[in-house]
Amino acid sequence: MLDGERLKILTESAKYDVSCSSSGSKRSGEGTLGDCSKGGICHSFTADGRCVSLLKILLTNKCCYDCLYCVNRRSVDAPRASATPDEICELTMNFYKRNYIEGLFLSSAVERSPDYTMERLLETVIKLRKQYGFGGYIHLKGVPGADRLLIERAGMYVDRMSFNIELPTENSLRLLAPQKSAKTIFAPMRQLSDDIYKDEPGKFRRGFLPAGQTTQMIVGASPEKDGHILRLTQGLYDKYKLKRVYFSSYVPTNFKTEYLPTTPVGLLREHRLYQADWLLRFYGFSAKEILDEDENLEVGYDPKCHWALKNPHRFPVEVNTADYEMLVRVPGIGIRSARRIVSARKYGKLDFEMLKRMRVVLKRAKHFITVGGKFFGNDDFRVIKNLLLLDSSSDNYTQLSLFSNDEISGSVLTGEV
Amino acid sequence: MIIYEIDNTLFGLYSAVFESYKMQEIPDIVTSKPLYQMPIGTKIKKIETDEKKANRVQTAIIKYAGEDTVQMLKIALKSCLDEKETICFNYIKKVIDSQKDIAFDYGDLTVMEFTDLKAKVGLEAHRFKGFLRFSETENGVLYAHYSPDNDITELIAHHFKKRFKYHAFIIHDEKRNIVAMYDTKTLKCFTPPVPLTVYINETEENYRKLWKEYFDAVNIKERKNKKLQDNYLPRRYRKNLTEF
Repeated sequence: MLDGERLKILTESAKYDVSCSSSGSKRSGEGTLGDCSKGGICHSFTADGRCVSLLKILLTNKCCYDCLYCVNRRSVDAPRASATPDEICELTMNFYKRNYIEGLFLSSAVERSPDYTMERLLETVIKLRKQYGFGGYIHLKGVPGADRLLIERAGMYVDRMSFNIELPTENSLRLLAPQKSAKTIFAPMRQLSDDIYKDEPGKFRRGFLPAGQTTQMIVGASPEKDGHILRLTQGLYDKYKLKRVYFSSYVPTNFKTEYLPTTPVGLLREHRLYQADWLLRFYGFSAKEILDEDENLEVGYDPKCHWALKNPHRFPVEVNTADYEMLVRVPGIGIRSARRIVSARKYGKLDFEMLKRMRVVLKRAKHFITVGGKFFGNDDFRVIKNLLLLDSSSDNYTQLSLFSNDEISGSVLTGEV
Repeated sequence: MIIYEIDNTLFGLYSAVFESYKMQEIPDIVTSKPLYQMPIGTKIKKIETDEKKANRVQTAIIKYAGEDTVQMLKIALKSCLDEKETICFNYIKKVIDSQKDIAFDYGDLTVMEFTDLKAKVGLEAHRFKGFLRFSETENGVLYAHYSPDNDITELIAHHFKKRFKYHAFIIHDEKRNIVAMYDTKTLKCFTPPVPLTVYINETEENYRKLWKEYFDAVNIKERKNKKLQDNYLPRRYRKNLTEF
């Protein structure tokens, strides 16, 4: 049975893979224990607010690769441990029985070779399904460079697979993770996305990778701008039909190198990227609309707000007649509020009070909408900009001052606000 | 001020609706727990639950707004809030007065109050699907105890029946002394006639320890955000969680 010491080592190495969701798979479980729920279930929350829903663990952290950003690099003297497939299965079943987890997230350092590692991972998940009878959620990391038959086989037993892109450009990848290559990462992603639709175009193949694929890239370890990252993200959604792209803020290890920054990237940048990612997936935005390729996301405003301020000619929109796609672009109106507005207006004309009841964030939205023809916001564009800027500084991630934004400090100096 | 006192059931509520239409009066408060401090001039009317009258009300609701509405009312009545009966009463009255399904009329105060009431219960049920922790007893039955704000045991028991399939389990709401019991064939909810004594398996302590260690290892200390954690995982839920 897996002891506490090894569990600690194998978990601490796995936690930087931030994908945590247990959602996306609606399977009534085969097997003797477990099923999946479409929305996913959070079993606990860490001190930093992330949800714990899976047993996230490495099969081993003995690695033959030497990626510069990784705590388990071959040339680092870190405590090494391994688990057997039986130990992983036993732990998963017992945690699952006690409702601690929704399922397993299994990864591994690259031991001996990609094929050897992938075989061991495959052995574990097949054992978990067939021998132990587990019907819950399994997310399996793919090893870039492993044989395509192993990958295809894995897709028949697990709910989700992911191959990490790691870095936003091939150059950075070559520099920081020389044993990995873009080709070995994208080829299996392509293979899986083709396999999911193998039987009929547009129709999901029954029982094969029901929760699809995801990927992750490290943010702040290399110099690429957010604009590039966002375009890459959009491309991944379009081309490989990924369910989600995750961004992991670079956390410096003890190893000092000229190729990597020594201070961690602020959490605000990661937060803004996730906000932009949400705009791509749920709000109908394209990366091009949000920002240029060589730009970083605004610090003082969230990306949706920033777009609205850049495009004043699109506003105000009339709440009673505007279509859903435009309503969700109003700062202060989210998906839920927009749906409520569209449903409620079938019963009659909406007024300001009713919007308040539906919990539209009118403090922001009122500058961008009319309600029954009436405008309740502020006429002065600069005032609006200031109001929205101070609003978002309550995020508490960075200490903004009146002088941290050129425009505001300029207006303060001249006395106008 | 008129107050209707009903028993704590859906049919009791329907009976109150019937009474209100029959007597052409609208109660200010409908409750199953009458308050003792009343303002002067309050009239408390005790409503007897009448199955025939209640059925007529339910038929009308289903006719205008569908079976779903009855399900929604059942969920909303599991709330712990004192105002629950009044809010549900107002909602039913609105359905019958307007003779249609009003569930999506979010601009309306009655509808929003009802939507929020139902949502709070639903949210707690969803959270406890994750927060409930089981222990293995000596004979292999899985036992979980908790103290939810709302009466959600019936709502979550079905989820666990699908999850545990061939494993027997007991979910014990300690606050209300209600138990959901599954013996691998049928699921039953009831109040246990005698207090429960539970014998925990000796391997249980080991797995609890491992889970605590796992939970500590998963933390990334550089990203501590207590407020966010409190938001997702309120402190009052933590006493039954193994890792806290």
